Amino acid sequence: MRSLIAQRPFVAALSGLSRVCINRTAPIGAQLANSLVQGQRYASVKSQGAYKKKSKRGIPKKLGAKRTGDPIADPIRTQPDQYVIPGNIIYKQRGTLWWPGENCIMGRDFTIHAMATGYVKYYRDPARHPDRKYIGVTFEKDDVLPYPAHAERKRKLGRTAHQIRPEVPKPEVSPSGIPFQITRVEKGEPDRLLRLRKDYSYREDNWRIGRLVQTTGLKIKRFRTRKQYFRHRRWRREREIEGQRKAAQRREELGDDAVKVVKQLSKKALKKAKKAGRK
Amino acid sequence: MSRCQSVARPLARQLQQRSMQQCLAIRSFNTTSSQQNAAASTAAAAEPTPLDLDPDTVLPEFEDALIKAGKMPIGSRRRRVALRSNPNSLPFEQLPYQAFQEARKILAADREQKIAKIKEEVEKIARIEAVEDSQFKGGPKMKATRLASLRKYVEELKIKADVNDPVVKKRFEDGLGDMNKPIYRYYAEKKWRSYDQRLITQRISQFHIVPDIIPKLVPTADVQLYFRKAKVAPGEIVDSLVSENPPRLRVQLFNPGERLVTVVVVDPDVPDVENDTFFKRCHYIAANIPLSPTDTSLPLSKIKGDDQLALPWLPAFAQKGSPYHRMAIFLLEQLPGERVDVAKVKELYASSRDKFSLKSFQSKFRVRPFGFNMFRSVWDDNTAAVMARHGLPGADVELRTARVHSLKGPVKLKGWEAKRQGPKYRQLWKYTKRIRGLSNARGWTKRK
Repeated sequence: MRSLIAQRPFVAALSGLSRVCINRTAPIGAQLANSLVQGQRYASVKSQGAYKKKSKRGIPKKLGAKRTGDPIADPIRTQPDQYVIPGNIIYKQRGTLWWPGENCIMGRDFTIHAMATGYVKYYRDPARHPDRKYIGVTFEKDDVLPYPAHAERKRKLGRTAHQIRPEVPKPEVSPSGIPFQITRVEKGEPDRLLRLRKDYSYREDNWRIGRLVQTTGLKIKRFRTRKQYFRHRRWRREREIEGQRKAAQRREELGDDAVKVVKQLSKKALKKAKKAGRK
Repeated sequence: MSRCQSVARPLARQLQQRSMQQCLAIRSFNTTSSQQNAAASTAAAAEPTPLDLDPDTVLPEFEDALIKAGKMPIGSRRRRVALRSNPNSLPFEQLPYQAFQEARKILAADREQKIAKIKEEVEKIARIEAVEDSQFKGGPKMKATRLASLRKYVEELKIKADVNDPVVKKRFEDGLGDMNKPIYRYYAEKKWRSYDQRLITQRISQFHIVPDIIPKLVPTADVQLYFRKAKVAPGEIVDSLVSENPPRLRVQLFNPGERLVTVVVVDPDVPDVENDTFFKRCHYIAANIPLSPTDTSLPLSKIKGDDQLALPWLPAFAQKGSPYHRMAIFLLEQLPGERVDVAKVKELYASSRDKFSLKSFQSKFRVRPFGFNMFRSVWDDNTAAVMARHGLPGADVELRTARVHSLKGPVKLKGWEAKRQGPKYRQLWKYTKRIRGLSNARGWTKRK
């Protein structure tokens, strides 16, 4: 299968270059490879001219204004400022042709979105930036952007008032006469709260079961943080190196003969040696 | 040896000595170490030594008593312990280092020079003042300009005379600086501008205090906010139980002289559900409060005078579901020698604290903002109780985000089941309705 896929380009090349005159003396593979690598086209193909043409229809990017209200592009005001709601896309662009102004934000791909309900305005704000163009949304249709400097911001609450319902205390006993929750008391264990389920069984809440681990006092991780672990490892290594250094020093002080080299033997080998000694 | 180690060395030595002494004591009296420690601590708690009554050498356990007595401990705890170990040390300015003493001589000579210069300039000012306006070359305007620039120069020289003195710097850092003197005010302002001023200006812009409440605000005094003895950073969210009582302000002025100030606390985020906006509410107004660079404490709860307190403290509260409320505290400077008519303030604002405008207050009473601090308030567990205690309505109302409906019309639903919802397909209802995990209460819904 893999070899088939690998050969695919050659097949394509063959079909594409059917008109190419193949020199019989050279091996076919080499010839094809050359023409592919260098991108050669022979005169007969070039004379047709078609392969050099750029495609007239690319994939449209569909950029530009999705909501109007642009006095720069539309100075006679043939189109009204369009009404938008939060999240609406106002402008799609590559790069920042337009910047987000009043009540607008810019998305990851430079798209300008509305952040409030209102009317789209396209404007410049030299006080903010000398040559940026902004898109803004105003609450009133007649408002003009930018708002005067030092004027209070125009804000909307965007909330409605509702009465807070007082919490109804849940009865202790269910309509079927059994309690909604019971406490299981076991000696030497923390008390467990069991609740009545839909299937009339009593079971502990899953989140409470999760909390039980904390009551055991078990230490699952030796180190609380990764940093602590690495510090421990560093110190351990330092201790090891220090110990090795000291051992080497001691060896040097005592001399070569004092050190008895003990060859490390496995348990099995030790047993064998013992047996052999006994014999 | 690092700087920190070198500083800590006397302390460490002291501790070593003490532990050795303790060991000796243990051996001689044959008591356990824990008993020994307990005995030592109780004995120490009972009787402070004269060193513990001195703010320069007080130990941490006697700090509270000293503060209550009205003396603030000086310097760090580490330094205090180090000083205890060596009580008879030479004063800083007499340290026997040749280069140090030579440098001090140079600084002293420079100071003499500056003082001579000040004298000269003061004489010059007196001479100019003696000349009549019409006689002065350039007229009265020129004379005023000249005098102003000379006075500014004298102030500059006063600071330059002391700015290199290490003893002055030390006194400032120990909190012993006399704020009546220009050099300490200069140091205090420099310190404030290095961080706190930047922080407060950032809060003013990032919380939109400037266009929302007043059009312009340049703070020129250090204002710190304390609730229940604890300092609150500007813009911090404060629990409604904590902000039920008025805060204490610590105001450090940097220009000389006593003046009268007005304190106004404004909440610009009161929800106005009918009009779908916000309005401002005044939480506190007090006027004619004398302040000077030396007295810094301004507890709002202690201001009770009839010609001072206009509107008593209204606790900060936010209704459930409303966005955070900014509680902006403004200090406004009154014109020199002018008093605000508190009766008029009461008449204007006591009936309704709502729809308050600081801008109009400013123009009505001719005051200028110079200090600012703020905190924030949100709905929390204690808010309902606080509102009930102060008779504030609205604790039973919750604000919920208003739904914004899509501009698009309803979409015709697609799919095998959607097509077979009608009575024509009654025989298939067992398959197209009551599908597990899918609510069909409002007609056929799109599968997510």
